[in-house]
Amino acid sequence: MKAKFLLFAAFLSVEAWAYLPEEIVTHKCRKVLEKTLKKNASKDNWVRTVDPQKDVQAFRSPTENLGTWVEIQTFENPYLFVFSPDKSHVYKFSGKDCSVLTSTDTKAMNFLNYKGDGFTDLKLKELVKADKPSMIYIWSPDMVYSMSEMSVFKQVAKEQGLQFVPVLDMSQSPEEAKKLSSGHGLNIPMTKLQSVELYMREGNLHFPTTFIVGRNRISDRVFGVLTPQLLTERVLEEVAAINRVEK
Amino acid sequence: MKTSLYILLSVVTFESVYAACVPARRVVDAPDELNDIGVYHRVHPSGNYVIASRAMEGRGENHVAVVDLTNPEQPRVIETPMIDETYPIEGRWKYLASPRNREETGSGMRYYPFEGATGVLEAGREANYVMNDADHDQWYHSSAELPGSTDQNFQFRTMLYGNRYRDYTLTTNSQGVVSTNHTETRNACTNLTGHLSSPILSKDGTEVAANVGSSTVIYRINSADSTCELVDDVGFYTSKVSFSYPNPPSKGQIAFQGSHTVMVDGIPQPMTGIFIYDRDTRTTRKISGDSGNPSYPGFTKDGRVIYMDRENRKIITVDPTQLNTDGSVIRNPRTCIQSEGSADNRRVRRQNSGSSRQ
Repeated sequence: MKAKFLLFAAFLSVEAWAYLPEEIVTHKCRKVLEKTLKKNASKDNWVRTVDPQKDVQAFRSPTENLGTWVEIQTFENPYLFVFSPDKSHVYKFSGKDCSVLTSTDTKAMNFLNYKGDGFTDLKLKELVKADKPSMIYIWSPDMVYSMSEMSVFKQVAKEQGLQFVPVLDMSQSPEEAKKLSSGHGLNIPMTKLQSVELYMREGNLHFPTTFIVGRNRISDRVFGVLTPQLLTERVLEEVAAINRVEK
Repeated sequence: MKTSLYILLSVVTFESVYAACVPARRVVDAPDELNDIGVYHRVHPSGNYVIASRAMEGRGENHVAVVDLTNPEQPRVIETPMIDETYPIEGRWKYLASPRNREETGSGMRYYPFEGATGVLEAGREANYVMNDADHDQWYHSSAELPGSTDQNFQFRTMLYGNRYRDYTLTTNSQGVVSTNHTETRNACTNLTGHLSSPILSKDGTEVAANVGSSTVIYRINSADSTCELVDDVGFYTSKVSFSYPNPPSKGQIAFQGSHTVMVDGIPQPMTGIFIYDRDTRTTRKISGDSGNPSYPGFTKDGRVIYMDRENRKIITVDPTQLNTDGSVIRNPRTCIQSEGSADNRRVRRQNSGSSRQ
């Protein structure tokens, strides 16, 4: 009986610890961070991002809600941010017992303020839920290859039965992008990135960055341009993975 | 006699200090001819030049220019025959490698001299290439001068997308390049699966950085069998990196643009910043401010970093040794300090007393 109890206690303990990135499982605020992460439905798929300062680390994870992510910054009084399309939330912890110092709703991240045609998390959700897979191609006039090779991606998407969805770098003006891309004969809408989900997946750090989505699945990032052959291979792998997901 | 000696010593001391004076941060306005500040940059080892590539409206191509910063009061734009993504042969920058050019008369990676009568600096758009390799010209190229290279037997490596690389030797005499040789194309990292995304060679061509999964990693390339040995894992994803120049026994540093969250007026906001990762201590620090969309850092040979403030059209040079870990300038009165902002940029102050840091 005692052994069973200990096993159960150990199981609970492992469950509880699993909510933090392994690099910081010994953090002094572990318990309160875990509790707050559970409350915000963290998926525990932690990715480390660049250190905000020397000796301070940052980790991000998606949540059960597409378009909502959590981020921990390991300052002495750590922050936990919750990012979503309509608002952000800031938790700050302090003191020896790591009690919550502040818990505040704030405005959403500033890039989400764009009033024009944007590729939002709502649009992403529609594509992710669909049975037919889509290729989301994030491009920028800053990276010439993302314009010059777009037709290759478009063609491979067409050949493999994918909807091709070009999305413009969130830092660009659509008018400028239209001018600068005009020499490439791109006949595409200037739909600007307005998705928390794709921003958090580093979709805006290099161009092009491509995601293949469908049946509640989002692929890993496809980084940069590829030859038609390699791109086709990659698309086939992703489509096979999507097709393995039951309807 | 005693007075003369004192004056002489004073002058020598002043000159020594002044000559060694490197401003913590220098801000130069991008020249107007650079209609767009550019879409990527590479930094010359002296810090006196950067290559800038910028999109040309309606042309479907990026033009590559050299920005001459020798006189920071009046930076100068030198047009080149190259378009899209030109990459220097890192090391001494003897040549620039370009897979596409304004007057295409045949495809291939062309290698243009940087200096000299037919080089880009003097000849501008009329510069002549010394070698064309039609079999090795793909996206995301990166080149570096190899250890043991000399002026007469210039040896370098070019790596392309897909891990493919070739090693070259350009043999020259006083008349110019007299012969070129290269190895067969090899695949680097044959012991690894998949290919490296956007590989960047180190300044001596012996290491390569690439994005693998959600991290940036560095491999040492074994030239004998083209296998790769993992020597560093940064732990997170970065933009393309710039290696510092070799300075053994230190493993050196890498500079990169990173995306992170910063509290601005109580609201967490996404920002890009310039960071350096110290490969000896495995620590990261920011060397830029948060505003201005700082981009495209590159190391000079003496350890400074040059990057672009794209929103404000500035070319910024920083000496990381004179910065705090949050990117602000250390107030060290023994060095010269230059304040930020155009109005004060050109005024170099020499401080001469005290030594405390704040």
